[in-house]
Amino acid sequence: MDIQMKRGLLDVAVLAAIKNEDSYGYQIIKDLKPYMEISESTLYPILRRLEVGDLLTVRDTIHNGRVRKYYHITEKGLEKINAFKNEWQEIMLIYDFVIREESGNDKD
Amino acid sequence: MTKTEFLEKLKNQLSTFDESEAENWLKYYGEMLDDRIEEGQSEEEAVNSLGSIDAIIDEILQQTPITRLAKAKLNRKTLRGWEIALFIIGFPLWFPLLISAFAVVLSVYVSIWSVIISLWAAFASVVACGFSGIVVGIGFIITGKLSSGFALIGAGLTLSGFSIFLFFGCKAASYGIIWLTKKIVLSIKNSFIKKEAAK
Repeated sequence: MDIQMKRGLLDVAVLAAIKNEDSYGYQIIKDLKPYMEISESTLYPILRRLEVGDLLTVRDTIHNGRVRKYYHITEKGLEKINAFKNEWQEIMLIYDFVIREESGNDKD
Repeated sequence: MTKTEFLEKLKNQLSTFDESEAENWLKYYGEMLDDRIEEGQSEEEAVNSLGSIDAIIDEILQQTPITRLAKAKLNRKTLRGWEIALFIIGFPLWFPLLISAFAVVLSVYVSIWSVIISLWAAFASVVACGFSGIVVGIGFIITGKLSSGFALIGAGLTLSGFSIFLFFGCKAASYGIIWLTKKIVLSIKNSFIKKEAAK
Protein backbone atom coordinates (compact mmCIF):
# COMPACT_ATOMS: atom_id res chain seq x y z
CA MET A 1 0.00 0.00 0.00
CA ASP A 2 1.11 3.57 -0.65
CA ILE A 3 3.06 4.86 2.39
CA GLN A 4 1.19 8.16 2.79
CA MET A 5 -2.13 6.36 2.55
CA LYS A 6 -1.09 3.71 5.06
CA ARG A 7 0.10 6.40 7.45
CA GLY A 8 -3.27 8.13 7.40
CA LEU A 9 -5.09 4.83 7.83
CA LEU A 10 -2.91 3.80 10.76
CA ASP A 11 -3.67 7.06 12.59
CA VAL A 12 -7.40 6.46 12.34
CA ALA A 13 -7.08 2.74 13.14
CA VAL A 14 -5.18 3.52 16.34
CA LEU A 15 -7.81 6.10 17.32
CA ALA A 16 -10.54 3.54 16.66
CA ALA A 17 -8.72 1.03 18.88
CA ILE A 18 -9.03 3.39 21.86
CA LYS A 19 -12.42 4.83 20.97
CA ASN A 20 -14.67 2.69 23.18
CA GLU A 21 -12.31 2.28 26.08
CA ASP A 22 -8.81 3.42 27.00
CA SER A 23 -6.14 1.01 25.88
CA TYR A 24 -2.38 0.42 26.12
CA GLY A 25 0.35 -0.25 23.57
CA TYR A 26 0.39 -4.02 23.43
CA GLN A 27 -3.40 -4.26 23.45
CA ILE A 28 -3.62 -1.82 20.52
CA ILE A 29 -1.17 -3.91 18.53
CA LYS A 30 -3.12 -7.08 19.28
CA ASP A 31 -6.40 -5.41 18.29
CA LEU A 32 -5.04 -4.16 14.98
CA LYS A 33 -3.09 -7.26 14.05
CA PRO A 34 -5.88 -9.09 12.17
CA TYR A 35 -6.40 -6.02 9.97
CA MET A 36 -3.01 -4.48 9.35
CA GLU A 37 0.67 -5.16 9.81
CA ILE A 38 1.92 -2.88 12.59
CA SER A 39 5.11 -3.23 14.58
CA GLU A 40 6.00 -1.70 17.95
CA SER A 41 8.41 0.74 16.37
CA THR A 42 5.70 1.92 13.97
CA LEU A 43 3.08 2.35 16.67
CA TYR A 44 5.14 4.51 18.98
CA PRO A 45 5.64 7.48 16.61
CA ILE A 46 1.94 7.34 15.75
CA LEU A 47 0.96 7.56 19.42
CA ARG A 48 3.38 10.47 19.89
CA ARG A 49 2.06 12.26 16.83
CA LEU A 50 -1.54 11.81 17.98
CA GLU A 51 -0.63 13.02 21.46
CA VAL A 52 1.12 16.13 20.16
CA GLY A 53 -1.87 16.81 17.91
CA ASP A 54 -4.26 16.60 20.91
CA LEU A 55 -6.08 13.64 19.39
CA LEU A 56 -5.40 11.53 22.47
CA THR A 57 -4.09 11.93 26.01
CA VAL A 58 -1.73 9.64 27.89
CA ARG A 59 -1.93 8.64 31.53
CA ASP A 60 0.41 6.50 33.58
CA THR A 61 -1.28 3.80 35.61
CA ILE A 62 0.26 1.30 38.00
CA HIS A 63 -0.37 -2.24 36.84
CA ASN A 64 1.16 -5.19 38.75
CA GLY A 65 3.69 -2.90 40.35
CA ARG A 66 4.89 -1.32 37.11
CA VAL A 67 3.87 1.61 34.97
CA ARG A 68 1.61 1.06 32.03
CA LYS A 69 0.60 3.93 29.76
CA TYR A 70 -3.07 4.16 28.87
CA TYR A 71 -4.25 6.17 25.89
CA HIS A 72 -7.51 8.08 25.96
CA ILE A 73 -9.21 9.56 22.91
CA THR A 74 -10.07 13.27 22.95
CA GLU A 75 -12.93 15.18 21.36
CA LYS A 76 -10.59 16.08 18.51
CA GLY A 77 -9.73 12.40 18.07
CA LEU A 78 -13.40 11.49 17.75
CA GLU A 79 -13.84 14.25 15.16
CA LYS A 80 -10.94 12.78 13.21
CA ILE A 81 -12.68 9.40 13.05
CA ASN A 82 -15.86 11.04 11.79
CA ALA A 83 -13.96 13.04 9.19
CA PHE A 84 -12.38 9.79 8.03
CA LYS A 85 -15.78 8.12 7.67
CA ASN A 86 -17.06 10.99 5.53
CA GLU A 87 -13.95 11.04 3.38
CA TRP A 88 -14.19 7.33 2.93
CA GLN A 89 -17.65 7.61 1.38
CA GLU A 90 -16.18 9.84 -1.32
CA ILE A 91 -13.41 7.31 -1.86
CA MET A 92 -15.94 4.47 -2.09
CA LEU A 93 -17.80 6.38 -4.84
CA ILE A 94 -14.57 6.59 -6.83
CA TYR A 95 -13.85 2.94 -6.08
CA ASP A 96 -17.27 1.92 -7.42
CA PHE A 97 -16.62 3.95 -10.57
CA VAL A 98 -13.21 2.31 -11.09
CA ILE A 99 -14.63 -1.19 -10.62
CA ARG A 100 -17.58 -0.49 -12.94
CA GLU A 101 -15.30 0.81 -15.71
CA GLU A 102 -13.06 -2.23 -15.33
CA SER A 103 -15.86 -4.75 -15.66
CA GLY A 104 -17.34 -2.71 -18.53
CA ASN A 105 -14.07 -2.99 -20.44
CA ASP A 106 -13.86 -6.72 -19.81
CA LYS A 107 -17.07 -7.30 -21.72
CA ASP A 108 -15.67 -5.69 -24.88
CA MET B 1 18.44 -12.56 24.97
CA THR B 2 16.79 -11.53 28.22
CA LYS B 3 14.70 -8.41 28.66
CA THR B 4 17.47 -6.63 30.56
CA GLU B 5 20.04 -7.48 27.91
CA PHE B 6 17.72 -6.24 25.18
CA LEU B 7 17.03 -2.92 26.92
CA GLU B 8 20.73 -2.50 27.71
CA LYS B 9 21.62 -2.98 24.03
CA LEU B 10 18.91 -0.61 22.90
CA LYS B 11 20.12 1.97 25.40
CA ASN B 12 23.66 1.75 24.03
CA GLN B 13 22.42 2.23 20.50
CA LEU B 14 20.35 5.24 21.50
CA SER B 15 23.17 6.82 23.48
CA THR B 16 23.48 9.75 21.06
CA PHE B 17 19.78 10.48 21.23
CA ASP B 18 18.36 13.27 23.29
CA GLU B 19 18.25 11.78 26.81
CA SER B 20 14.53 12.11 27.46
CA GLU B 21 13.69 10.83 24.00
CA ALA B 22 15.87 7.73 24.45
CA GLU B 23 14.26 7.25 27.87
CA ASN B 24 10.80 7.34 26.27
CA TRP B 25 11.70 4.66 23.72
CA LEU B 26 13.19 2.45 26.45
CA LYS B 27 10.14 2.79 28.71
CA TYR B 28 7.91 2.01 25.76
CA TYR B 29 9.79 -1.18 24.83
CA GLY B 30 10.03 -2.16 28.49
CA GLU B 31 6.26 -1.94 28.83
CA MET B 32 5.78 -3.92 25.60
CA LEU B 33 8.01 -6.71 26.90
CA ASP B 34 6.36 -6.75 30.35
CA ASP B 35 2.92 -7.05 28.75
CA ARG B 36 4.05 -9.97 26.61
CA ILE B 37 5.70 -11.74 29.54
CA GLU B 38 2.59 -11.20 31.66
CA GLU B 39 0.57 -12.89 28.93
CA GLY B 40 2.67 -16.04 29.35
CA GLN B 41 5.53 -15.58 26.87
CA SER B 42 9.06 -16.29 28.05
CA GLU B 43 11.51 -13.37 28.10
CA GLU B 44 13.26 -14.91 25.11
CA GLU B 45 10.04 -15.18 23.10
CA ALA B 46 8.97 -11.67 24.03
CA VAL B 47 12.30 -10.19 22.93
CA ASN B 48 12.30 -12.21 19.70
CA SER B 49 8.80 -11.05 18.79
CA LEU B 50 10.03 -7.45 18.68
CA GLY B 51 12.47 -8.27 15.86
CA SER B 52 16.20 -7.61 15.67
CA ILE B 53 17.73 -4.58 17.41
CA ASP B 54 19.20 -3.40 14.11
CA ALA B 55 15.78 -3.43 12.46
CA ILE B 56 14.31 -1.54 15.42
CA ILE B 57 17.10 1.06 15.29
CA ASP B 58 16.59 1.46 11.54
CA GLU B 59 12.91 2.12 12.09
CA ILE B 60 13.54 4.56 14.93
CA LEU B 61 16.03 6.40 12.71
CA GLN B 62 13.57 6.60 9.86
CA GLN B 63 11.07 8.18 12.21
CA THR B 64 13.54 10.71 13.62
CA PRO B 65 14.32 13.83 11.57
CA ILE B 66 18.01 14.14 10.66
CA THR B 67 18.24 17.62 12.22
CA ARG B 68 17.19 16.27 15.61
CA LEU B 69 19.82 13.51 15.42
CA ALA B 70 22.54 16.05 14.66
CA LYS B 71 21.38 18.40 17.40
CA ALA B 72 21.27 15.64 20.01
CA LYS B 73 24.79 14.64 19.10
CA LEU B 74 26.08 18.20 19.42
CA ASN B 75 24.38 18.69 22.77
CA ARG B 76 25.96 15.55 24.15
CA LYS B 77 29.46 16.67 23.38
CA THR B 78 31.00 18.97 25.98
CA LEU B 79 33.95 20.88 24.58
CA ARG B 80 37.04 21.51 26.66
CA GLY B 81 38.86 24.87 26.62
CA TRP B 82 41.69 23.78 24.35
CA GLU B 83 39.25 22.12 22.00
CA ILE B 84 37.42 25.40 21.60
CA ALA B 85 40.73 27.23 21.05
CA LEU B 86 41.76 24.68 18.44
CA PHE B 87 38.36 24.99 16.86
CA ILE B 88 38.79 28.75 16.44
CA ILE B 89 42.47 28.69 15.39
CA GLY B 90 41.81 25.89 12.96
CA PHE B 91 38.95 27.76 11.33
CA PRO B 92 40.89 28.77 8.16
CA LEU B 93 41.75 25.11 7.73
CA TRP B 94 38.61 23.20 8.55
CA PHE B 95 36.09 25.62 7.16
CA PRO B 96 37.28 25.39 3.52
CA LEU B 97 37.69 21.63 3.97
CA LEU B 98 34.15 21.34 5.24
CA ILE B 99 32.82 23.44 2.37
CA SER B 100 34.74 21.42 -0.21
CA ALA B 101 33.61 18.11 1.31
CA PHE B 102 30.05 19.35 1.15
CA ALA B 103 30.58 20.54 -2.44
CA VAL B 104 32.00 17.17 -3.47
CA VAL B 105 29.03 15.30 -2.02
CA LEU B 106 26.63 17.74 -3.63
CA SER B 107 28.32 17.55 -7.03
CA VAL B 108 28.30 13.75 -7.00
CA TYR B 109 24.62 13.85 -6.26
CA VAL B 110 23.93 16.49 -8.90
CA SER B 111 25.88 14.53 -11.51
CA ILE B 112 23.92 11.38 -10.77
CA TRP B 113 20.74 13.31 -11.34
CA SER B 114 22.08 14.93 -14.49
CA VAL B 115 22.72 11.47 -15.91
CA ILE B 116 19.08 10.67 -15.25
CA ILE B 117 17.90 13.92 -16.79
CA SER B 118 20.06 13.42 -19.88
CA LEU B 119 18.78 9.86 -20.24
CA TRP B 120 15.23 11.20 -20.30
CA ALA B 121 16.30 13.98 -22.69
CA ALA B 122 17.79 11.36 -25.01
CA PHE B 123 14.54 9.44 -24.77
CA ALA B 124 12.53 12.57 -25.62
CA SER B 125 14.72 13.37 -28.62
CA VAL B 126 14.46 9.82 -29.99
CA VAL B 127 10.69 10.04 -29.69
CA ALA B 128 10.71 13.43 -31.40
CA CYS B 129 12.96 12.17 -34.23
CA GLY B 130 10.82 9.09 -34.73
CA PHE B 131 7.65 11.14 -34.86
CA SER B 132 9.02 13.81 -37.17
CA GLY B 133 10.57 11.14 -39.42
CA ILE B 134 7.14 9.63 -39.97
CA VAL B 135 5.44 13.01 -40.50
CA VAL B 136 8.08 14.32 -42.93
CA GLY B 137 8.16 10.92 -44.69
CA ILE B 138 4.42 11.15 -45.31
CA GLY B 139 4.95 14.68 -46.60
CA PHE B 140 7.59 13.41 -49.08
CA ILE B 141 5.30 10.66 -50.33
CA ILE B 142 2.48 13.15 -50.89
CA THR B 143 4.80 15.40 -52.91
CA GLY B 144 5.90 12.41 -55.00
CA LYS B 145 9.36 11.67 -53.58
CA LEU B 146 8.48 8.06 -52.88
CA SER B 147 11.84 6.48 -52.09
CA SER B 148 12.99 9.22 -49.67
CA GLY B 149 9.56 9.19 -48.09
CA PHE B 150 9.60 5.46 -47.37
CA ALA B 151 13.16 5.64 -46.09
CA LEU B 152 12.18 8.39 -43.66
CA ILE B 153 9.08 6.57 -42.45
CA GLY B 154 11.16 3.42 -41.94
CA ALA B 155 13.73 5.33 -39.92
CA GLY B 156 10.96 6.97 -37.91
CA LEU B 157 9.36 3.64 -37.06
CA THR B 158 12.73 2.16 -36.06
CA LEU B 159 13.37 5.09 -33.72
CA SER B 160 9.89 4.81 -32.22
CA GLY B 161 10.49 1.13 -31.52
CA PHE B 162 13.87 1.91 -30.02
CA SER B 163 12.31 4.55 -27.76
CA ILE B 164 10.14 1.89 -26.10
CA PHE B 165 13.24 0.05 -24.92
CA LEU B 166 14.81 3.33 -23.88
CA PHE B 167 11.73 4.20 -21.82
CA PHE B 168 12.03 1.07 -19.68
CA GLY B 169 15.76 1.67 -19.23
CA CYS B 170 15.19 5.26 -18.11
CA LYS B 171 12.44 4.22 -15.74
CA ALA B 172 14.59 1.54 -14.11
CA ALA B 173 17.49 3.98 -13.75
CA SER B 174 15.24 6.59 -12.12
CA TYR B 175 13.87 4.08 -9.62
CA GLY B 176 17.41 2.94 -8.90
CA ILE B 177 18.47 6.49 -8.04
CA ILE B 178 15.50 7.04 -5.75
CA TRP B 179 16.30 3.78 -3.96
CA LEU B 180 19.95 4.80 -3.67
CA THR B 181 18.98 8.19 -2.23
CA LYS B 182 16.92 6.54 0.51
CA LYS B 183 19.82 4.21 1.35
CA ILE B 184 22.24 7.15 1.54
CA VAL B 185 19.96 9.11 3.89
CA LEU B 186 19.57 6.08 6.16
CA SER B 187 23.30 5.45 6.25
CA ILE B 188 23.97 9.11 7.12
CA LYS B 189 21.49 8.77 9.98
CA ASN B 190 23.16 5.52 11.01
CA SER B 191 26.50 7.27 11.21
CA PHE B 192 25.11 9.35 14.06
CA ILE B 193 24.58 6.38 16.33
CA LYS B 194 26.80 3.47 15.32
CA LYS B 195 30.03 5.39 16.01
CA GLU B 196 29.04 6.22 19.56
CA ALA B 197 27.79 2.75 20.30
CA ALA B 198 31.11 1.27 19.19
CA LYS B 199 33.08 3.34 21.72
